[in-house]
Amino acid sequence: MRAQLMRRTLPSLVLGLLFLSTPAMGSCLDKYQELLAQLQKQADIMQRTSLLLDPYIQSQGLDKDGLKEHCRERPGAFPSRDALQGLGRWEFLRTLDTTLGRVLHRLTALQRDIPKAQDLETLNRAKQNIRGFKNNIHCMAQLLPGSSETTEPTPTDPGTSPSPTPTSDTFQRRLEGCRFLHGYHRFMHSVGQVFREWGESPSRSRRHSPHQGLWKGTRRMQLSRKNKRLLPRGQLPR
Amino acid sequence: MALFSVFQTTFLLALLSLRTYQSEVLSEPLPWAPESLRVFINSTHQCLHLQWSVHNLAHHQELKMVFQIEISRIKTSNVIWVENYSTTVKWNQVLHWSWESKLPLECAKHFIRMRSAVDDAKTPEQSFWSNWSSWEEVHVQNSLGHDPFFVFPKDKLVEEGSNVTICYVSRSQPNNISCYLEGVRMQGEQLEPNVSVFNLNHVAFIRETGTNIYCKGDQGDSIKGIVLFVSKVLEEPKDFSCETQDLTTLNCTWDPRSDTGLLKQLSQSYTLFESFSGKKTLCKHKSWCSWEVAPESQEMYNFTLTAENYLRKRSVHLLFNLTHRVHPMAPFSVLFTDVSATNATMTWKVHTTGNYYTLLCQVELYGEGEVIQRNVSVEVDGKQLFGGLKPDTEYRAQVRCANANHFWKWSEWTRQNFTTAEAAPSEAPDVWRNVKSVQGHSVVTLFWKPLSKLQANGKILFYNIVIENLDRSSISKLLSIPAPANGTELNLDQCLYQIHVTANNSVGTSPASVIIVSGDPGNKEVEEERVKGMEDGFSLSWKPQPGNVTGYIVEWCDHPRGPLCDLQWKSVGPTTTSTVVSSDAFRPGVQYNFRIYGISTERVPYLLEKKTGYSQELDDAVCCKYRIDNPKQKTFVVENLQPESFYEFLVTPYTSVGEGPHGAFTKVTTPDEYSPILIRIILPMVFCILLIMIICYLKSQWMKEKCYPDIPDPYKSSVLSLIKSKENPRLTIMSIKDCVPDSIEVLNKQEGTRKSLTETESSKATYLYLLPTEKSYSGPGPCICFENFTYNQAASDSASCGHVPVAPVAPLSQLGLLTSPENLLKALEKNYMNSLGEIPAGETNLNYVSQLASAMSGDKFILPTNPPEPALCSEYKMQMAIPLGLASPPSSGSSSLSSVTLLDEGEHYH
Repeated sequence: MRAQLMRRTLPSLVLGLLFLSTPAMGSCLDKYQELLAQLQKQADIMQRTSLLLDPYIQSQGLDKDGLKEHCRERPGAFPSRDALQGLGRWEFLRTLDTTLGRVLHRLTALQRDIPKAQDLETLNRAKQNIRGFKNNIHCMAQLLPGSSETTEPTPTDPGTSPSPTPTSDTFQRRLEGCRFLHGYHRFMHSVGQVFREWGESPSRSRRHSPHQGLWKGTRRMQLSRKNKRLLPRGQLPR
Repeated sequence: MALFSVFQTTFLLALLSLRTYQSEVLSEPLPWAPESLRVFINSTHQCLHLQWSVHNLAHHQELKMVFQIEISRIKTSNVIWVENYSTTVKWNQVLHWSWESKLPLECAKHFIRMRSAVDDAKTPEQSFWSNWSSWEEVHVQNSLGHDPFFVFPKDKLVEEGSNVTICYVSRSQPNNISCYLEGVRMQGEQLEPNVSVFNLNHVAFIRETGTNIYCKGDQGDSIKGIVLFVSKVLEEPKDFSCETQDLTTLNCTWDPRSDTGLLKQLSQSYTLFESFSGKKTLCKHKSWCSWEVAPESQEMYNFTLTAENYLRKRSVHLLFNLTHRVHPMAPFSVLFTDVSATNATMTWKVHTTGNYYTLLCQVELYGEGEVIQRNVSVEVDGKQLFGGLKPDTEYRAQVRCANANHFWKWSEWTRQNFTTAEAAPSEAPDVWRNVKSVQGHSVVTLFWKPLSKLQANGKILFYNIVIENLDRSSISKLLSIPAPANGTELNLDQCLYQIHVTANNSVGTSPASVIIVSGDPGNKEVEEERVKGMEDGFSLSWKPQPGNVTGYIVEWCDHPRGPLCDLQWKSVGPTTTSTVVSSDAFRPGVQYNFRIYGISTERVPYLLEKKTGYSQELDDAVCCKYRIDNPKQKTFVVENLQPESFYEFLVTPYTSVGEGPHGAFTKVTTPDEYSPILIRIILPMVFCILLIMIICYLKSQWMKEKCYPDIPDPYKSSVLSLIKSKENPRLTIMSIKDCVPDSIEVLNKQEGTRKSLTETESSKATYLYLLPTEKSYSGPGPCICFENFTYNQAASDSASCGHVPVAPVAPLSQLGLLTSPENLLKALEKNYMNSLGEIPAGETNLNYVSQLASAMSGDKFILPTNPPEPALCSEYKMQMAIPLGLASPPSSGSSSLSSVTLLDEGEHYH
């Protein structure tokens, strides 16, 4: 039990330390490679099923033969690895940000079915990690070439984020939650791979699309001049 | 008879007409039959709600009626429930009735119908059933959707131990659907072709998030399931109690027992209801709740605590008078005033709980192992005087209060410490002295024991010593010795002195301790007695003194071996003639000396007795002490120690005054007894053996010549002595001069007729037997030259070298025979004969010419042409081992070598 707790807690602590080096709101890490490495590490940690999926399966009694097999990601619930790899960097970051926003809302809905305080704490830590990751995505978006506008960083408090309407059938909701978490970890695994590819080919940008069009319909934020001055344009891969 | 028949017919007709009337009445609809029957479904609770009305009731008319309700399942003929529902029906009233199905309503069709009857005394003529209403069908499956199958009931909440019925409804027939409870397959019954039912008996609590029950199709890709929430049985709260601390708020507490163990939103809640006021509150906590006391001074309270979850309610009641449940708050502002050495006044305040309440407060005082307890009645402020306290002592006081009129509970303790003031020391210090005469003066060392805490009454700051010369009373001297000294040294003359010793603290002076000191130490010669120590010390006794004594002093040294003997004394009363002297400093194996003094009425001590002894005599340890008088000596050998024994020793210096301080003992373990002895023996032996071996090696040649030469001297041979011993005068050492040498002639041999080595083996072996070889040779050995001056030199050489390889190994049996001289001779003879007989013709011919044979028998053998000359040689020469390469003749032409050539070559070997 203690080992299990350690297995759950340790990655969260590591993530917490990683986020400590990430300026939360307003200021970003301005070194591309460092930020990229940080995103990779975060993605690597967030893909671990011991953070969310395993405790969920155990608390919901889904760790039985015949049930576990149905705890698989529903096709289309999350972008596939190929789809992510096929995106340009701007599109990739935007997709990542949007998807993680959905994940946050869904995790909030899942809280209702988790009775144990320990599991709730695990869930809340995971949500904090996602928020931190989204902030880093925002920072990365600023470092991409030609960035003059990007998404708004995730607020610390989810506030009035709408929760998806839960299914009234508890069993079905339980399975869906399990599938969702499975997909989430798989998605983060793919995200880590894409970020790794960024590091391997820093000058290559897939299907670089004019980002102005891609961000249509999303909230935009004009960076402050102070922030712009901090951007080390010369270091970025062109 | 005819009359009887008419009567009977009339009766039957009347009865028939009555029956006909009744049947006509019954066939008419009842004026108050149920109408507008509607059925509502509550799937969550598996309930059917019926709603209907009764028409034709007059305005404000009330009628007691019975409604018979009939419920069928699957088909109308399969009636599963019949119930009579009695109620009073009013005009225009809509009636309701509910029924809970054990089987989920989705699992099968249900049919409901009802009829009514009047059950009212006001209209007894209407007391028969109305017609049945038409069947109302309930079929929930129609609205399920398009999934291949479904499992019911959804999210049902039951108590642990309940029986639950579960079903699945399939869209297709036949179906291969398997259902599982927490991974374990369930066996069900088929209710309809597309419906199977599973009965779960005594369901158990598994986890807070519920029990998973699911079904899978035969393909395994589709899964449907339900979560059965099994809660633990809600228990009645225990130890429900309410109390107030301030008469404004009631705090009610209880033991909630075990949690029903479900999701937070399904867990039990607690409600507090007060019947007199009619107020109710939902408690936020599971084990306690606050209740605001009514401002109108309600005294009596009747509480009902209700624990409730979705399935059950449990209630407990509590009736009490508010003033009887006062649990005062802890007193505060505890202070001590007028604190002296022996008295202190304690004050405290209590929280007001109403103007007319009196509190009973309990005060406790702890100090020096004593407890003082007081009960005080308090309304606002409390006050308590404590007397008889000890000076300079820390006390801990605590106070708590309770309602004096109706005791309920004590408040918490409030604690406070205080220390009483100092007072003058109450006792004189216990004083003793040691007197030594040095060069006509008395060196008096005064000792005193520190006062105990009870005696000191504060911190002793200094000791005053007043020295009064009794011979010259006008002269006195005052010394002040600061604490914590416990002695001082005085140089006095031979006069009589009276010494007063007092202890002083910040408040005052203790009574004086008086002792008389004279130039005479009073150490008269008395006989020393032996005493034996006990576990608890030395038991000493002495003879009572005939004169008046004011007391006795027993004196000893705690460390008699140390430079400072650490003088100790014990004072006893004048009537005491024995005491037990104990000390933590007493050690086994140390001798202690005790002196017993009597104190005269003039306070002059005089020696009475001496005693000496060991607190514990050691039996199993030898205590040795050596005095080394030479201060420059740095080593000392302790002898006669026991082997393999553990010893401890220390070295300490001493002067004329005594020994120095004892340091730590050094630990030594002596070695065992035999190791040095063995080393002393073995080492020389090994040395000697080595020496002998070296000498032997260096003188090996000499030894060889002396002891076992290569060519033994026949004159020194033991063979001679053997022969002599057998008294055979004919046998003697043959002299060369007397010898007529035999000759062995090797004749040429044809190449083609030469035999192989194996074929000539016997002849070779014969040849070998003549040789006194010491070693056997392995393999085809070298040729061996045998030089015997009894033979012709040339013949010998020509015969032996290089022609016939010899087999190196002789049969052991034959070698054994050769060991004796007789055998040797026999062997010589025999082998010579054999060799002659076995050499085939045509081979290398070895002609043996015996000098004896030629002389005696005139043998036909040809004598050598060149008779050998006798050489100047008196002994055998060593056989020469020739390497095979050199000794072997060439493959061709060897046979053509002349004997001369062989002789020449052979000469090189000499």
